[in-house]
Amino acid sequence: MPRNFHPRAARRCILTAAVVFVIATLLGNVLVDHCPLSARFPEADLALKAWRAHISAPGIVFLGSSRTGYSASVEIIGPKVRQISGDAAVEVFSAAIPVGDPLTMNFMGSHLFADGRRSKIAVVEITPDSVSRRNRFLDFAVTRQFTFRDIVENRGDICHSTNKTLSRVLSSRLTPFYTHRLALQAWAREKWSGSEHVIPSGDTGNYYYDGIWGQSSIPQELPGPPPMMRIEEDLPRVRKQLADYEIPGRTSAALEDLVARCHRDGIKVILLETPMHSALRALFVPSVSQPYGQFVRHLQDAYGCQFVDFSDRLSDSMFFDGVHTNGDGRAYFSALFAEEVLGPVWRAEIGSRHE
Amino acid sequence: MLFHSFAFFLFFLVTFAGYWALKDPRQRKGWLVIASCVFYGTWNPWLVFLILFTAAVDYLVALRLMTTESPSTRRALLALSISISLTLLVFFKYARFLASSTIFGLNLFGAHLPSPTWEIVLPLGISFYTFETISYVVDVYRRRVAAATNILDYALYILFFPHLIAGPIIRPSFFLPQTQTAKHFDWARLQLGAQYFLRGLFKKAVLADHLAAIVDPVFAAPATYSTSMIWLAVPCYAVQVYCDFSGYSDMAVGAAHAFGYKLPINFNLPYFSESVGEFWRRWHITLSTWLRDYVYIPLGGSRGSSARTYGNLILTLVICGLWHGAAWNFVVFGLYHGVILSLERALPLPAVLARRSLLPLRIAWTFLLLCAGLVIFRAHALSDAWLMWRRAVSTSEGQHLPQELVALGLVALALVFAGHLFGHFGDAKRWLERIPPAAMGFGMAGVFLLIMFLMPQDSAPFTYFQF
Repeated sequence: MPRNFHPRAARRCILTAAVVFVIATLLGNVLVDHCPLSARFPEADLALKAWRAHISAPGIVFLGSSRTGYSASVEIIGPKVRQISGDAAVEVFSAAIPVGDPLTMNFMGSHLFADGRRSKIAVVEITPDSVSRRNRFLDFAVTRQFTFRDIVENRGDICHSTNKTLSRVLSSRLTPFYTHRLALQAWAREKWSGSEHVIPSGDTGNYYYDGIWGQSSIPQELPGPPPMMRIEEDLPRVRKQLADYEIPGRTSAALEDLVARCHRDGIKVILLETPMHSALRALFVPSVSQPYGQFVRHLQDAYGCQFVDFSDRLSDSMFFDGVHTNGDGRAYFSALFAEEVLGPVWRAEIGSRHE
Repeated sequence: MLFHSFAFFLFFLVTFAGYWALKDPRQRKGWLVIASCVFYGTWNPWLVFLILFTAAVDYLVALRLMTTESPSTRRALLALSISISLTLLVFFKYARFLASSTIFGLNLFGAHLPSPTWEIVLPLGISFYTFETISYVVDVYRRRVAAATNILDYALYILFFPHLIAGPIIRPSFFLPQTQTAKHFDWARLQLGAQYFLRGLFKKAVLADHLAAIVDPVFAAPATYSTSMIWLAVPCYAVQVYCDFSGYSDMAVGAAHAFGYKLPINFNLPYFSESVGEFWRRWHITLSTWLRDYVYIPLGGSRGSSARTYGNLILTLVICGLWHGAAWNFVVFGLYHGVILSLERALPLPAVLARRSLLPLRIAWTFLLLCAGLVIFRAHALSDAWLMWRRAVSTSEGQHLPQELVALGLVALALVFAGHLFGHFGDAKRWLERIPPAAMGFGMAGVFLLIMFLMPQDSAPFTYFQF
């Protein structure tokens, strides 16, 4: 038997391999926690770069998920608000992030306003399912933005969430070089070639997001199954998320934290319940809508937010699936929201400033 | 649960820890059987019962064969067992193919029958475990092995998770005696297993999965790619399928070592074969030897006339082709290899071509023949295979793959060629012996981390799962 396969030598070999693996895993965890945002969370990085490209902070900022990203076209809303308010200088910015749950919105809020530049109005997405303690988007948050400390702090909600979330936490922390390989590869490529890396497609679960929520990136129709089939596929997941519905948890706390920060910084918050297909709205039975309503009222009372409900304002033909609007829905919602909400609010905002 | 997934990583750690924590050999075997059922059940829990049914029938038949002396009863029992196994295999794997082929044939005579629209779920690994149960009953019938009296031994032979889904196809005479021996935790064996596993993981997760980016688009639309891309994609497919399957086999062998079991080696530098006949002695060795022992020799082997021998060879290779899948291109693939094997037997190489100096030429020629056969194997339809052959021998214009993919393909080809060269001329054992244990451990961990880092985003399931 070769020297290396002598039991004592083999034991030494295996134990060395195990120790090296454990040390590398720990270092990998540190690396993942401290790697640039562009590597681990490129969607957020792109949004922040676009934000910093503005000389002064845009007056209105959207914080939300792909629901907001799909529905609210800044290219339609901006001109409309300028026209209604008469303020030619107002800019509208979308910091919506695919699979952007309140934890992600809070993360974005803290980064956007970190340099002291602040918007006047923040439109913050809120829906009954997104503030549920059982957060089905947590498995994205754990891999793309959570540090080790965040995981410890959110351990309760992680365990309360889906099995997939727990599995992703474990794989993210036990095999960081595997789970984060695409991000680390992209970072390495960026360092090597000096070029901007491409967002790892498929990781966001989003259809057409390419780093901007521009009109060109949203097609009129999606290839693949028709909307109703997509909705039927999604319904069991939403139903599972809403079972034993409860709000108190880290997810709703993150939303409250974001709203409180805006309140402290003098940013007016508009809580926007985004448009939804009727099949999905039907799941918001009283056991869901009542605690949700109480939570919304609490935010309004505590932080003076305005709440606008657009969940039932679009017809079912204006959706790709249960929550994402198609081209028609996007155009219709953007115009409607600008005319009914943002335009008047911005006009009042200018008026109060002049006073 | 794929071998190269995080779920398997956790599953393996739990199974390994539980196995060695148990002291009683029966409990250990039971633990492995339960773990294997869980492993299989992650795909489809209901299909575990199908394996258990097949295994139970053959277990009982084998026990009966041991106590029965009457030749006619023994033959009847053997026929019963093989019929049940083959009926299940044919039903699940070939029913749709047989129905659509029959309808196609009838339609040629003006029947106007619609093509079948129904689908049958293909139980994973059915071709593998069916062959194992057949070899068990046949060997007991031939009195080459004694029937397993302990059901756990037999269950482990069929269900042992490292080989359950895609082989190697193990023989009862090879595995059952291992279930009788006491297992002691052995660091040396664990190291050997880890090295096998890492080698397989590298082949599968790094080489084979990356090569899919070259192979898939060209085989999906061969008419749109240039001749040079076809000449790149076909050898890349040869390397991909080798790395995929031999990688799985290496991982299976490695995982089995961790539990104190040995599985047979399934590949032996197949692309350094001097002839197609030699290739089949080096490629999927456990299937080739199974077909030799349970099909070719019972058919008469080479004991009859030359014509009979060629017929037996062609029939065996057609069965081999069909074993790979229920489609006409697999039948033609088997026929192609059967004809080449017959030609090699009928027309021995002239002395001038058999010289040692021409060895590289013979290897290259064999590789070319294998690549031509793999085009039939991989193409979506026989017409696509024909199109690829035509475009390969003419200078056709068409699109090119990105430069970095071409470079990736060439690197992968070079790596596998270098691996074959090292395996052929180098002495791996002596080379490994010179490395200090700590450095070896460091290297193993480094390779594991590197593999994890280099895995592509979309990792494909093993090619041989579909068989």
